[in-house]
Amino acid sequence: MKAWYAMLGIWMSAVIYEAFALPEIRGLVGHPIAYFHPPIAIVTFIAFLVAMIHGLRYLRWNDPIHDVKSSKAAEVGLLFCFLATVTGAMWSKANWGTFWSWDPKQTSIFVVLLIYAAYFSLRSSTPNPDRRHRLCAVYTVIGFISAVLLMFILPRIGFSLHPNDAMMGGGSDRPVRLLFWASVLGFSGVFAWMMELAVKLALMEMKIKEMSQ
Amino acid sequence: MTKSSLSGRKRNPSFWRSIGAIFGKDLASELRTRFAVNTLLLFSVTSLTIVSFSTARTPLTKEAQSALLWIVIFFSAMTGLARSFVREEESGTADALRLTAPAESVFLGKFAFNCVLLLCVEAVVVPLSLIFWAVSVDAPLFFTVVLFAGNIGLSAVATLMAAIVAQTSMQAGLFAVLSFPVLIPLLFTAVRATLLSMDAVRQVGEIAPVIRMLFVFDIVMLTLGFLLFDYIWRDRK
Repeated sequence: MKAWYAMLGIWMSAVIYEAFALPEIRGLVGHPIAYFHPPIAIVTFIAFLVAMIHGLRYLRWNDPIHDVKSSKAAEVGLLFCFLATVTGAMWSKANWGTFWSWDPKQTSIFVVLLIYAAYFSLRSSTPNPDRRHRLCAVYTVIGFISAVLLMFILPRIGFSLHPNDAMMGGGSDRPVRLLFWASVLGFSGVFAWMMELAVKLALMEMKIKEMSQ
Repeated sequence: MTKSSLSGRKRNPSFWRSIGAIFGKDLASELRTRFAVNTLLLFSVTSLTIVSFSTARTPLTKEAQSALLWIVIFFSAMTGLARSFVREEESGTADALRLTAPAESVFLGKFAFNCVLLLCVEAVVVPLSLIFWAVSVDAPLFFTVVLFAGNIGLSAVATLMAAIVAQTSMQAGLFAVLSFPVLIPLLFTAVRATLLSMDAVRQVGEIAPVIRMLFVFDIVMLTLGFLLFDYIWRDRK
């Protein structure tokens, strides 16, 4: 397990080094953030998906461990979501001149932030644990489906400044694309690591509570 | 032949009948007190008056008109529909309902009732706002379809969230917080569609996609409610 963490550290350091070393992408100002902001935003959605899957598993098997996993995925996801919103606003200022313009992708990340916030206020206002697990699991499912619907709907009713092909598609050079996906992989690893730590901590807390009773 | 075997054999008709019974029960108790409908109507008329009074000197753009209309409808729904399950829990009738009716028919019955309540509100708010803001609706049929589709989606989400908040400790404040992010896809599309229906210059090709999106949202939320309502409604342990 330790070897994995070491590899993750080396991988992320390499990604960060390469992000600053690669030449600027055509037509994109503030280029190093291009290798951090979109991957963080992608991981935000992955975190949400993980939270929903564990929520569904809780509903199916009724085991509190799934609720712990679901809520910790949401907790770490909230951190990523916050980072994605802030880096996005910074990059937007550098590239388009304003911090916020209600571009479809900005809107959807903002909505995901709202859903996470609602999720945690629901969590904190349900004292009965069994009820809390159940209601929160249901809310992750509804929230995720709604966010997916939003991502399909927004580009059709709004306008977009986001350069969709600049990084992922064929419009970019090979090293840019490679580094981009390497960064996505690296940030997913960071997410998995943080979530594992959080789950371990929560399980220990549960055990201590049991022992002290 | 006992009563239980009778209802067990004809499962389908009794399912529809229980939806009708729950709808009828809510309607009867509402007609007796008129609590929800009064709150909804007064709230929506008040907010509409504030909006149109404070913007009386400046002509509103069509964008602002369609957005404000949906803001008024959304917040009216948030004030009036929260009570639908809280009332059952407070008066202790929720357990009786859990025993006598399947969860799915409770969801559909409550949904139907919330739909009707919201229709009453729209029947007052929409004509008033058209008069106050001097709106010219260019495509009345399209406008009505948008209102109906938005109504279905709003009531479906509100029914689900009302069932969730009824089991938490802070009910009224949480309802809007939980519903709003889930309703954003619907609200954005509905505002856009309302704008299209008011606008004289629009292409026919623009109408079909927004209507489709509204109905996709309605169907997805009703299906989710149908599948997940049992988990909200019943304690597992």
